[in-house]
Amino acid sequence: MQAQAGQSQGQMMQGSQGLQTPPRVISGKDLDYLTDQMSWLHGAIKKFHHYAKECRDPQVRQFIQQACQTHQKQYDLLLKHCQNQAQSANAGMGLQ
Amino acid sequence: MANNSVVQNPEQQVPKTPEMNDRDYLNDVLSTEKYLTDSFNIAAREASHDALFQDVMQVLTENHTLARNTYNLMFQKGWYKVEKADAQKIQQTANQFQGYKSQFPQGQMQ
Repeated sequence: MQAQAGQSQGQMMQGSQGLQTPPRVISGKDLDYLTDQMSWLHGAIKKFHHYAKECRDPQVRQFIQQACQTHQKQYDLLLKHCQNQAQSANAGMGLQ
Repeated sequence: MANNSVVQNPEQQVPKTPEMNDRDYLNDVLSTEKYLTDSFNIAAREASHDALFQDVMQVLTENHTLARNTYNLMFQKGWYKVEKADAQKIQQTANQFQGYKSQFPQGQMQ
C-alpha cells in the first residue's frame, strides 16, 4: 500500500529512541493468523462459486459471483505478505 | 401482513422443496460474511506491524460491505422484513438517555 514510504521512515532509528513502529516482519503469530485468514477465504471462495452455479435468479447469481471475486482478491492480498517476506528472507540469506 | 409497523417488499417466491433455493444460498452467504467479519476483526487487532494491519483492515471493511449488500439484496427480494418500534417507546428511550447526560462532565451543555 501507499504507506510504505512513511513506514520505512517510521522505522528509522530516532537517536536513542529506537524504532517508532514494529518493523515489517512476519511474526509467528502473524503467520498463524495469515494461515487462518487464507483458509477462511479459501472456503468462502469455493462455496460461493458452487452457490453461484446453482442459483436461478440472475441477480442473485451475479451478486454471489462478485462476492466470490472479492474474496479471491483478498486472498491474493494476504498471500503477498507471505511472498514478500519469503523473498526478503531469501535475500538476507544471500548477504550473509 | 397489512400491519403498517412492518416494512417489507413483496416476497419473491422460491421452490419449497428439501433442495436449497436462492434464498437459502443468499442466507448462507450472509452467515459466511458475518463469520468472516467476526474473524477478521480479531485478526486485524492481532497484526504485528502497520502494513499487515492496513491490509487486514481493508479486507475487514470490504467484508462488512459485502454483508451489508447481501442484507440489502435480501430485503429487495422480500426475504427480510423490518418491524418499526413503538413510537412512544422510542420517545421514552430518548428522554431517558437525554436525562442521563446530566451525569456527564459536560452534561449540562447542549
